[in-house]
Amino acid sequence: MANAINEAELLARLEGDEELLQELIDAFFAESGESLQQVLDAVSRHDAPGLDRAAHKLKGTVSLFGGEEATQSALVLETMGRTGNLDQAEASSRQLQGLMEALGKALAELREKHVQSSDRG
Amino acid sequence: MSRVLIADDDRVSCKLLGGLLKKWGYEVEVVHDGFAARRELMKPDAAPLAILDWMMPGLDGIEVIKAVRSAAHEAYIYILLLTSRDQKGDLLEGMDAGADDYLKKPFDADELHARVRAGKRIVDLQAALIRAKNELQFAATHDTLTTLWNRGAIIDLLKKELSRRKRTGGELGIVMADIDHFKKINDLYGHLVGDAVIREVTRRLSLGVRPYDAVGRYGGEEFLIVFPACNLSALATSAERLRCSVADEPIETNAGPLPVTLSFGLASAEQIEAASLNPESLLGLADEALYTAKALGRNRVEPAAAMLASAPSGG
Repeated sequence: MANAINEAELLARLEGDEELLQELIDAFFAESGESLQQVLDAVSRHDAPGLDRAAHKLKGTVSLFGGEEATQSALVLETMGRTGNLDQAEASSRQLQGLMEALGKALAELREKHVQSSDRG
Repeated sequence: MSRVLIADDDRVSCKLLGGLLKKWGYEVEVVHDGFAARRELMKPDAAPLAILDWMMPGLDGIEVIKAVRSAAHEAYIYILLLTSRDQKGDLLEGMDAGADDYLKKPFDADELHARVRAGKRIVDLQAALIRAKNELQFAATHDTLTTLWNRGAIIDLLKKELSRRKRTGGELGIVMADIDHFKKINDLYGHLVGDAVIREVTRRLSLGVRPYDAVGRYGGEEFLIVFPACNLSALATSAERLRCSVADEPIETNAGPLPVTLSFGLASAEQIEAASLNPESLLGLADEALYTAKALGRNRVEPAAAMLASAPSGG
C-alpha cells in the first residue's frame, strides 16, 4: 500500500498546512463513501452516464490525495461510462472499492501520524 | 480583501481550495452545484473572482459561465475554470464560453495561487476603472461649487421626467429660483462670500425637498428644481417652504450674517398642452413667472399665470 497516497505531494499541495490536511482527510471520510456508492450503484444499474459522472467526481477527490492507483481505476470506470461499454465495469468497480479501502486506511494512518506530531509540537 | 466564489460538487476539493485561499487572505464563499453558482454570480454584489468546476450537478461550469457573460454586469467577474478534463478541445470550449483561465485537477498550490493572483490583478484594475468612470461621470453631471446637478444634467433630468409623464401620466412641476440682488452681495463682499451664500442656499434648498425631487444649479445664482408627482398647488406650498427656509434665517458668512432672499417662479406640466409640452416651453413658463416674482418686489413665489394658448382647445 506504499503508493495508496503520495504523502510528499499531498503536503506540498497543502503548502505543508497540517491543519488543512486534517480537514481534508475528514472531508474525505465524510464524502468518499457516498461517492463510491454512487459509482457502485451506477454499475449495478448499468447506468453509463451516471457512471461517467460518479466516477469523474470520485476521480477528482482521490487525485487530490495523490492516490495514483485509485485515480487510474476511477478514470477507467469514467471512460467506460462515457463510451457506454460497461462489460468490465463490475470487475473494475470491485477493484476500485479495494483501492478506496486502501486509500482510506492510508489516510487514517496519515491523520494519526500528524495528530501525534502536532500534539508534540 | 478579495472575495472568491468556489463552485464544486466535490466537497473535498472545496475544502482544499477554500483552505488555501483563506490562508492566502481571500474571503471564500462555497456552493456545490451549478444553479447555486449562477444564482450567486448573478447577484449585484457577486464575488469578483470565481473558481468553477466544469462538471457539476444541475448546470455545468460552462453553462454558468455563459449565463454570467450574457448578463449585463457592470463589474467584470474573473472566472477560473477547474477541470480534470485535459483535452485541447475542452480547453478551447471553456475559454470560448468566457472562462478567463483554466486549471487542471489535481492542481498545484503554487500554480493556483499564481492564477488567482493574476485574476485579482484584472479584477482590481477593473474596479479602479469603474471608480474612475464614476468619478468622471459625477464631475460631468455635477456643479463643482455646490455638487448639485449642473445645468446640462438637470435639463436632461427634466427631459426624462417629461417623457416618463408622457408614458405614465401624472403630475410634474418645476421651480425656477433666483437669489435676489446677488450681484450686490458679490460687489459688496467679494466672490468668496458670494460662493458661501450660494453653498448655504444650496444646503437649505436640498434639505427642503423630497428625496425624489431634483435640485440643479441652472445658472450663476439661479436654481432649477424638478418636482415629479406635484401639481401646481402642491408646488406652491413646497416653494413657499423653500422661500422661508432661506429668508427666515440670515446666512452666516465671513462678512457676518447676511439676509438673503429668493424669488420663485413655478410652472406645472398641466399648464401646457401635450403637443407643445417640452423642456423649453415648461422652462419658459417658469422663467416668466420668476420674472413676475421679481417685478412684484422679490422674495416671493409666483405661479405661472395662465395656460399657454398655443393651440385652440375645447374650452
